[in-house]
Amino acid sequence: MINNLFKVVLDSHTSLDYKHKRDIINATLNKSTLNEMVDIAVNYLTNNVKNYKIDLFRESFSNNNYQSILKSYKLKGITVITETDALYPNELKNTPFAPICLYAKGNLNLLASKNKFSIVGSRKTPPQILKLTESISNKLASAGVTIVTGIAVGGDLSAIKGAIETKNVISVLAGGFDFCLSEYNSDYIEKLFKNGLVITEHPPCVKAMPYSYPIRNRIIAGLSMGTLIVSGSHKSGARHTANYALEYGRDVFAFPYLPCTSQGELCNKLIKDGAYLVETASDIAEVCGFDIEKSASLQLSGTEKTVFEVISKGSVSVDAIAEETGLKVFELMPVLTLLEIKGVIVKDGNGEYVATQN
Amino acid sequence: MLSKVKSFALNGLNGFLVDVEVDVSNGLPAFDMVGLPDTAVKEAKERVRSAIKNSGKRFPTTRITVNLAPADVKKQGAYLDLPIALGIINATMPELKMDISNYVFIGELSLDGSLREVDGILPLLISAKASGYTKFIIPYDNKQEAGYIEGIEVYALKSLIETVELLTGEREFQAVTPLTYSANNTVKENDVDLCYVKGQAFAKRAIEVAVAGGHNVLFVGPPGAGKSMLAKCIPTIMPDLSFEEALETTKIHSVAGVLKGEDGIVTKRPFMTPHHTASRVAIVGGGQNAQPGVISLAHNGVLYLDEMPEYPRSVLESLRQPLEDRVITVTRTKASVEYPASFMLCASMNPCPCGNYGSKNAECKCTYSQIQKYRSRISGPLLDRIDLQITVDGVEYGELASTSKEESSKEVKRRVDLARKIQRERFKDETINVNAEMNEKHLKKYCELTAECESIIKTAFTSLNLSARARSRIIKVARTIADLELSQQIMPNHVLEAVGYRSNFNL
Ligand SMILES: [Zn+2]
Repeated sequence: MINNLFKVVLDSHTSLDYKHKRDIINATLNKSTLNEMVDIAVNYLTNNVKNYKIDLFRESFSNNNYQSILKSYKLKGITVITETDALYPNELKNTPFAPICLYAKGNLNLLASKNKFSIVGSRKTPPQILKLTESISNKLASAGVTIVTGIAVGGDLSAIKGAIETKNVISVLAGGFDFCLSEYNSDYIEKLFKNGLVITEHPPCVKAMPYSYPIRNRIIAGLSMGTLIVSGSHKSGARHTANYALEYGRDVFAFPYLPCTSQGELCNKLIKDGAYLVETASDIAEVCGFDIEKSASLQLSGTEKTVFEVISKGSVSVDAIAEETGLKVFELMPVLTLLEIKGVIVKDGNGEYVATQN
Repeated sequence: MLSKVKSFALNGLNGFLVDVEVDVSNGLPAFDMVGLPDTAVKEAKERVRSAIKNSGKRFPTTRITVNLAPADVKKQGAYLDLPIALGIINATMPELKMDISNYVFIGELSLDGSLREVDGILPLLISAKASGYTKFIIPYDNKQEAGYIEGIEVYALKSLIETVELLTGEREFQAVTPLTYSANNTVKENDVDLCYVKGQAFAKRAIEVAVAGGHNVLFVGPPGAGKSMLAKCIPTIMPDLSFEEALETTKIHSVAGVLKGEDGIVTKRPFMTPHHTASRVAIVGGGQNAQPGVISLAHNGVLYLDEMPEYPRSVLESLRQPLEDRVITVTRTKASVEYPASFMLCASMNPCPCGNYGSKNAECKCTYSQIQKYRSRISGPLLDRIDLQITVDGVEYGELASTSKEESSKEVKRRVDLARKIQRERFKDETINVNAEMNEKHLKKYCELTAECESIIKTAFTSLNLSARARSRIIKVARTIADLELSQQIMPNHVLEAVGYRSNFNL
């Protein structure tokens, strides 16, 4: 208990970097009173951090002070989970540089979800891939997998869109909660607070900096048993997520792209390096052992099923479907739109229909 | 001596009365013209001078002042030659006792005194009739156009002399005989018919829907997929041009000077195919005289843009406003003129710069970014205004395709005519003709949606990422699909089909 309190207050000192905090925690591991811990910390800071305001630091551990810190978190609806809390996810605990505290808003039970899988992509993701991302995210989340992602427009947002209705989604921010509504898609942040979970390793007052994103990505990778990279150039931040996942021994998945497609360079490189090639949700489910619903269990009417079966065999044009099913175009079009709305087929950039799940 | 002659001039499609006042007085020989004449009118002096001389009349060697009233409106064109010449003759030779006060005179003179055909006779006569004038003298070659206006007495004469003879009563002339309008629905090339297009059931259905409601359509497909053949078939299923529509369209063609003399009236829906090198002014209208552009000539018909991305972006973007408002405002230095431009846009394009993207027969050599750049030449807002976006791949499916009997244009046209009849009935108290022309007010009134349809549209928008601008267009297309099915109420299937024609144009 005291241990946790010490970590929460220590973590609120945003001017201290991760290494110093970790050193202090390691030095105070077997101490049982707050005073002892603070003494050790003060001693450490005096020796290792130049010009650190020791008095203020000590003062922050006074009863009044730490109560007000805890109260401000509570007022903002934020739960602080330290690495020794039962809620702290095991997958993350075992990674190097695991966050000392996680600040969370939303359904905390999601942290305990057995199957967590991350889906990330860059801002520049082709629309067709966004659609596919949304659909795969939805399929996995519907099967009880908790989707972990960021919040940026593009691949991340599509992953959220696909999963939000199932409430199985965690978004990891690169900064504190004070800024999240103004910096990101506030509609989705609100939805996530209500129907999912938003976490960050930063106290509320920390603003996300460009360098915060690659560091944040270690949490996304660390939480998940596997990571799907939906898009990214050689330079995009998604490569950090992939690298962390590999480093932590998790599976990496990627969509294949046509050559010379800058939005997908990273994906193709990952596949060359051994990542799993993904076209459908089942490509992931098989590797990770998720039990995703088969399309047959989706509620399709007789005609819908007939049409869907034709499309499942490969991408086809309206004329070809009409020919094969014997339906007139005006009878067929409503069925196609219905299937598209249900998300089991999509139109590719060429006017042909493709099944999104097999 | 002062004499007054009435004439009409045009501002856009609207004619206005011009009083030509001629004063001949003693003084040094001079010929002055006041009252905002444009260059063509100023040149009238020379034409009038020779025409009078060559008609065997004396041109006065005194001081002539011509005033064109109202003085604050610019008069353009050579319509005023005839009234000016008559004014001069009447002022110098009162002994002829010409009956000039009962007529409105319109006509250009050539140097030998003959009357030359002028542009815009139809809108001039229609405006003059609306202002209560009933007797006209116009050039002989314009007589066909005049024949279609009821309730006026028009004399189409060949020369200034004939005019003088008529006005002095020296000779009798027959008034122009009224003509009855009949739409011309023959197609020039008789091998153009839907029955010669094999397969392509999807594209055929799409053009049937598009034509039935006047919706815009885009064909995307590789070269040789039959895009232009489908476009050429559109006129074969279009409903006949009604007399009212014919007059509207003729007015514009008349002003633009593209009316074929022998017809006198446009009897077929226009199918305009401007080349992609045509200037913006040529396409949307403008220039010194604020002439109507191709999009106005396509009024009540089709504007076909082959290989749409080849057109300059500025031209394509300037289509957005007329596609929405169905009129185009053409501005010139002093005033602006409004021309109707209610056309059905039909466009075609390749799927990528090389044309083979997605083709089963050939390989596409374009990079992703090349394809994206090519497609982005058609902006989102413009694309939103194209109700039906159809992929045509030119592949025939199965053996059935080659043996089955294809429906002829005539059969399709019958269904289109029926759907149009329903629309005419629906809009009989409105100023519009087809579903595509409906505005928000009309949508509320004529396209009430059931709760089920509302919810389908709502789901479709969120799950298919449709742009908000697409909503009203989808409902209008659904209305047309319901009309083709002779269904009073828009049903879920109609909405679903309409949504299906919105393709995901992105890669
Ligand atoms: Zn190509």
